[in-house]
Amino acid sequence: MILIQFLNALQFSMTLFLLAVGLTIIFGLMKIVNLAHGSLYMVGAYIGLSIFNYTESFWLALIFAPILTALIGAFLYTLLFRHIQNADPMKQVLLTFGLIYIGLDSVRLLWGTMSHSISAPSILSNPVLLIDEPYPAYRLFVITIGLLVLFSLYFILEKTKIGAKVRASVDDPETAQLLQINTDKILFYTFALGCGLAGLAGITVAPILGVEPGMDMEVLVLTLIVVVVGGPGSLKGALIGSLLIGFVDSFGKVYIPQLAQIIIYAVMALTLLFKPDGLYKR
Amino acid sequence: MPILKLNNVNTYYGKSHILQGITFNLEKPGCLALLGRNGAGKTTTLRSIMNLTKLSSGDIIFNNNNLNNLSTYKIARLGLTLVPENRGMFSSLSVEESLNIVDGNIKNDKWNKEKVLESFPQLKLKLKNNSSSLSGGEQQMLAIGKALLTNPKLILLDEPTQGLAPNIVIQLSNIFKDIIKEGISLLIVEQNINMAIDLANQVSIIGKGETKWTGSKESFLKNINLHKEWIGI
Repeated sequence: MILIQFLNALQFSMTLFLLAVGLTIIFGLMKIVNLAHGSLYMVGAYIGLSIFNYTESFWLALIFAPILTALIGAFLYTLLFRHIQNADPMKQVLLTFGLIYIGLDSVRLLWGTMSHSISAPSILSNPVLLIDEPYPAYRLFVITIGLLVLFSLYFILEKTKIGAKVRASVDDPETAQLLQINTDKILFYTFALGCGLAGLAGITVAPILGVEPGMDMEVLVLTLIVVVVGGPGSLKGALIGSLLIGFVDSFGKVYIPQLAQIIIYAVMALTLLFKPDGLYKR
Repeated sequence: MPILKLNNVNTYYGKSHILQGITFNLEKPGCLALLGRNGAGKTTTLRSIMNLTKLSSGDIIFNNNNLNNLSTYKIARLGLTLVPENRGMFSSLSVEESLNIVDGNIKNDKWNKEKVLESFPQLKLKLKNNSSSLSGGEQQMLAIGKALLTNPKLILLDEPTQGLAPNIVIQLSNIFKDIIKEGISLLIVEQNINMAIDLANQVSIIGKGETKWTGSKESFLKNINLHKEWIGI
């Protein structure tokens, strides 16, 4: 039982991580809180749904939904985000908040207001036996995807020259430019990557949670909490924050259901009381 | 043809008119000391040259290239860079990574990581250290090392000896002399006027956002009033 809870919490944490990592990198590089990040997650799930319905292949949906979401991100960056980078925070909030409504209405217009489901691929649709408990293989797959993304990001950011350039651009964009680094180009690709990861989160949870309008707001609030608790702009913070919130939420719902609604907010309040800049300050 | 030419440069921070007409040339290879009291506009002048602060009017020309409206990284690729007052450490990068991200951006370059480490042997011992954990002097050496890796023709230095021990200041001063000998020009803003004048062959004085005087080191040294009026406390 506890193992099942543990795995559920880990799967939820990995989904939060896919979302939080994009939001936190974009914040670190641009100092913009993209409130429409949850919308990209929803759009990723819907694009995946259409690819799945059209091709009947979950695998094609898994590959192309994140890529198309990244392209939407690249488009939004070029059209909007690039121009509000140094604008005052209120303008940034209004713009990204407005995008939430545009995202929601676009989804309703294109796919309707009904909720949809995507079935997990047949190879992952049977439960596996863990010790003596059956556990959905698909959830293990989601955990694996999260871990793969985590390790790939870690490798790229910490072990490659381009990763060091990204970190330098987050640390001190002006000095990076003085050293001939084109920080705008880095921003563009990182923004698109962050959006692509939100799309990946959307398509990977679709077989578990379904696809419906409104799924964006649920994760947006949780993702913002993860980023604030972890420390905005910090990758380690995104990971630790995802695990903390993911585990507290999953275990809280099972063991103290009366407090399920407020427990993550309590965790956030406590964290900020003792660590006002989040667990990992940049 | 001057290496760097500033012609009636004006900039604003919001509504306050910070630079109200900066005009000077870096006429020949060597070092120009840019002097003036605190708040006179020296840092803003350096930032404007690199387009980190936008010009509202005027022209900045470097090696026949007009820098107006050019992105900072493109200006840097022309062979012009700035070592900022805060030394611009990348807090999540090690010393080695800080050098790696600059090294090899331009082909056939004269300055590479090996040569920088030869010039700053202290850094060799701390390659794996986090760059923000270095002492002030080491940070300044790393900042200059990174600047050299861009293979510049001209380096702008903003208060490079600020807060450093006297023996480190002497060491840095010798490094700057070597850099000038290598044919790289310097434009230095310094509170340590004796050191700046020692390096310089040209002097320009800023007061209240305007260029007040520009000339050779020799004529600056003869003109004691300049010092009293625009630099002394």
